Amino acid sequence: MKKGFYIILIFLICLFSFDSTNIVYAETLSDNINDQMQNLDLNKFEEFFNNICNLPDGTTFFGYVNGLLEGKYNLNFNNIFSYLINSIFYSCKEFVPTFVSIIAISLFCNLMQKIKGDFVNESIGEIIIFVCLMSIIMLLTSQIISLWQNTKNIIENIAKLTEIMSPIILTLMVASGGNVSASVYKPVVAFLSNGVVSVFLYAIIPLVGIMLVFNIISSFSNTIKFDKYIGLSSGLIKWIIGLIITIFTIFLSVQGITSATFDGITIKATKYAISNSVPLVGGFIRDGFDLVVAGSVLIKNVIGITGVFALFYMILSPVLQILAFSFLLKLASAIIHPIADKKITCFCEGMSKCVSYLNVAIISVGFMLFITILLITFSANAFI
Amino acid sequence: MKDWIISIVAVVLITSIVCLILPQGKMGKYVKGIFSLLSTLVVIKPIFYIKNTDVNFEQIFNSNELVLQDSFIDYVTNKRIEEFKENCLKITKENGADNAKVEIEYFLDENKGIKICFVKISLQNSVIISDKEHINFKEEIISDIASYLCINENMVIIYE
Repeated sequence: MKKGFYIILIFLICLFSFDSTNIVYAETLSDNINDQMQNLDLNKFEEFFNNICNLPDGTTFFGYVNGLLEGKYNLNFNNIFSYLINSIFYSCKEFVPTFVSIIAISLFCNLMQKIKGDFVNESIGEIIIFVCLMSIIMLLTSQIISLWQNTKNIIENIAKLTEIMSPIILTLMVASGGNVSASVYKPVVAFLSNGVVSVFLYAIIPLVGIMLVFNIISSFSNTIKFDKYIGLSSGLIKWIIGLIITIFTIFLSVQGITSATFDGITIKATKYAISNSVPLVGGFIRDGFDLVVAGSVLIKNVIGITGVFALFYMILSPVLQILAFSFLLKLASAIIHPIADKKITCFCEGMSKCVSYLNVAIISVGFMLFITILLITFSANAFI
Repeated sequence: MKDWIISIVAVVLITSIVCLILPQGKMGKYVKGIFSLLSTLVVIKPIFYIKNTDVNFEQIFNSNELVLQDSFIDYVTNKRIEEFKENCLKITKENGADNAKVEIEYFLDENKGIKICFVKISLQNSVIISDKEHINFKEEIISDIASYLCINENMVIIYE
């Protein structure tokens, strides 16, 4: 009981400490963990992690994991906050030239409209607006395509992370006694990495693409409007995402609680039997019984935390980039509203709304993986 | 899908250009109407092909089977069995028989959980601790080991 308490306390300290803490634990547990780490195949995870994350001061994947295992790794919120702010500013800085160009083109268009006066035909004015709008569209198209493609890549990477990490965590779960839990989580993980990701890649992302295209072509045609198609697409996206997340969360929560409780009760019953039936050596044996299991649970939790870290690192930058792009589009639309034609401002605002759906897609898939990792990692701690 | 989007963009672009260069007049609204109809037909074109396409939803949700690291599970299982053996030896010693030998027969079920078949305790080379020799220690050992491993007492066999 005491050892279990200390092990849980170590994790709480690792997760929530602001200052470095010296964690003291039994040497045998440390040896146990080292032995298990040497027998566990983490090569694919290491390769993926190193490709995705740039750790500070040249820290390697195993350096990071061992640091977490020893409780020496500091979660410095100041660094995270400054990284967030820097990412937002860098993203905004990247897009500022484009939006300054949009404002300049809108100003030019307005000037031309005013200058033309009565000397030229009304249709020439329409052509001026058409040309200006086309140049704005051309300026934005390459960046929007790059954001759209980036979103697809991120979602594929999230699926890849799930495929790489899940066998490792489930193996550790089985090793720590969570056999039923592991067999329950297998279909959930498979559903996430295949089914959910397929829906996002083959339904949601194309729908967002269609919305973007329809928004573009609606803006330069007076005759043909696709506003209702855009509304239909956005409604479909909201329904599909809402349905998937609801089903996924309910299923995962119910299965997770049930299976972990089953495994937990089985193992706790064992402990109860031991501590009550073997009065002379009960406590001592119970501690021995937990050592291998405790080592596996520790490693499983650390791998889970590493996966969560990799997930956040993977999705944070693109989400902030899309957020900055969407914000700047809205800002540009607001700035040029008094001077530009209605088509240009409506186009900018419409594109801002469409682009924000890319963020919704990334965050939804990321959220589902986050929940899965959390449940798999921390529900099985009931075994200690 | 790429072709579909390109065709929509082309139709709308042509419509816009035609509307721009067309002189104002009665023909204008008819031309616009025809191009609007054309763009609508292009947009709904995929609907006509839905009936003929065969989407295999099972394939979309079909999973590559998750492969666990059996070598690691075997390693941890062996470690746990070693731990069980050590603790069973401690129990036998506590009950008065030092230097016994313990063998555990087990198998892994379909979920890779450890299922113990028998626990064989050999007291051939063991030394009986003098202050406990009057106690019926064999029944005590069987009972304690069965409680520790959560198995039936008839699965624990002692032989000398």
